[in-house]
Amino acid sequence: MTEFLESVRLNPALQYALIAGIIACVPFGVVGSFLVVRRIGYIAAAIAHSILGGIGAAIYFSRSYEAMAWFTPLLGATLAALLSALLIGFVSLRFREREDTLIGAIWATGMAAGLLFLHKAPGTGVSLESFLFGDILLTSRSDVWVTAIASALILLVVVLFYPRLIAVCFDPEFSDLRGVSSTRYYLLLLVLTAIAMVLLVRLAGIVLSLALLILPAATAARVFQRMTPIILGASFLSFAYLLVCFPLSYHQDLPTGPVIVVAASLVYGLTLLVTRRRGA
Amino acid sequence: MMEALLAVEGVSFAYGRERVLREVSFSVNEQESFCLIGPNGGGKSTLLKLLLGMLKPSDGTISVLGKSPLKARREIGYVPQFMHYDPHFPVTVADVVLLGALEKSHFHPFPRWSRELRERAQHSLRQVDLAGCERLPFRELSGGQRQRVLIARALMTQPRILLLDEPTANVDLAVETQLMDTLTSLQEQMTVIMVTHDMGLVPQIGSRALCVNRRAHWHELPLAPEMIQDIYSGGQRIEHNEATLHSQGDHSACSHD
Repeated sequence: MTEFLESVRLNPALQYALIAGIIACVPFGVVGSFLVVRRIGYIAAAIAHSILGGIGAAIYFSRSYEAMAWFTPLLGATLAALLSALLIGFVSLRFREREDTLIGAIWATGMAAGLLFLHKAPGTGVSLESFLFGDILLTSRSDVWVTAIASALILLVVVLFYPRLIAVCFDPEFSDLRGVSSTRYYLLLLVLTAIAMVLLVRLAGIVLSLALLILPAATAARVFQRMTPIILGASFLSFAYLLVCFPLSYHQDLPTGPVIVVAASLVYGLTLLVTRRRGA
Repeated sequence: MMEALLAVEGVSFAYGRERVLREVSFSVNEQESFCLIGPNGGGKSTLLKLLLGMLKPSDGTISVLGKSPLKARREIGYVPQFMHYDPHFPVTVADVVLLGALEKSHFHPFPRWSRELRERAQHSLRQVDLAGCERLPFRELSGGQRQRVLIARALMTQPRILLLDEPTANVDLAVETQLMDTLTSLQEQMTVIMVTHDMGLVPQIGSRALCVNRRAHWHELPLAPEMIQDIYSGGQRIEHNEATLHSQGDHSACSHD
């Protein structure tokens, strides 16, 4: 442990990754919990995969055209995530029977477009692996800021609209009757999901992002009976996994993301065994 | 002059080319409760959605409490059908009831509802005989208890009309009796309109029933004795049987095309 702390002290990237991770625990807990209780984790997965398309486009255009230097990977990722979230939301509300097709299409097309853009992007090759699995050693000071601002935004929105979000997840028809548009708040939830996925993909990569969002929330949803404790439980679990697995992975020379996912899966599996209750 | 509680005038409605309701007209006075009956696909749910302002009639006018259905919504308590909400959602009884106070113009940011609303929620729960159940998880309740919680939620806006869509569809006979007791006592305070398939329950709500099958027609209650015998023989509930229902009484205007 002392060895780990010493490395953190000497390595700014580790510091940034740890700080960004700690900040993001609560918004991830919030978004993950809504995804679990509304059972739309697969939408978040499609959003995560579409992000590669956005990153690829940003790298390609900013390197190919000087006038487009402003098109950063973060901007590309955010645009791709928001676009796919709104598209899936719109289709799932209007044409429910086509939802799974669209999700599959966005999932694969996002990856394909990203691979094509990256293949054709001028300049030195880009490490695809760091996008897919994340590389915390690439975390920078700006990542901490982006994480802090986006986390604050997610929390602010959820605090302001909390009962409405609960209402539209529980009984959309009744919400509409009370003048609270279920369409609008469902799309808002997907937009928050998109923002969380952009952060998570930056920190943990595309492949592992969904598990990191869903597993702590799914575990908490087995234990608690209300949204607020589920959210707090999910946030606490994310925090605990980070605090335990980060030093462990460093010590054993293992990649952090997969260590956290395996730990979170084990805890979820144990919780399933212990709490044999219906629901969640 | 006393304003009619509900006034439906020549209302037609079609989903695309399929006409579901044809020139439906009826009116209801204040404090008059009744059941909405009729075969599946006859347009009961559509009529309900029209009364709630969720759909707009392609022809005709609907006035609820002298207003358009959209404007009258706040004064209508609505209890949805079993399949319309997520029964496994992690909320407590109090959470669900308080959601009935949700309004477009009012924000209730996390974490607390006002004291007044919490007291009103307790009052609503007392009205459905669930006092003291505030903290129970909604997903662990029985079907009948869930229905009562949803009735309590509908009572949060202190409505003048309570609309229930098949409230007994998912509960057993004993629970059904309790639920009907609750509704009978609520009838004294407001107009109760209940959509049901269960002919045995019809006589317990109001003095006439509205039969909807593309057109709408009133049936005076009680239904003929042979009909009631049919219903109670063997103590079993029977599904609405169009032929049985229309074999008695005056149904010259009740067209089932």
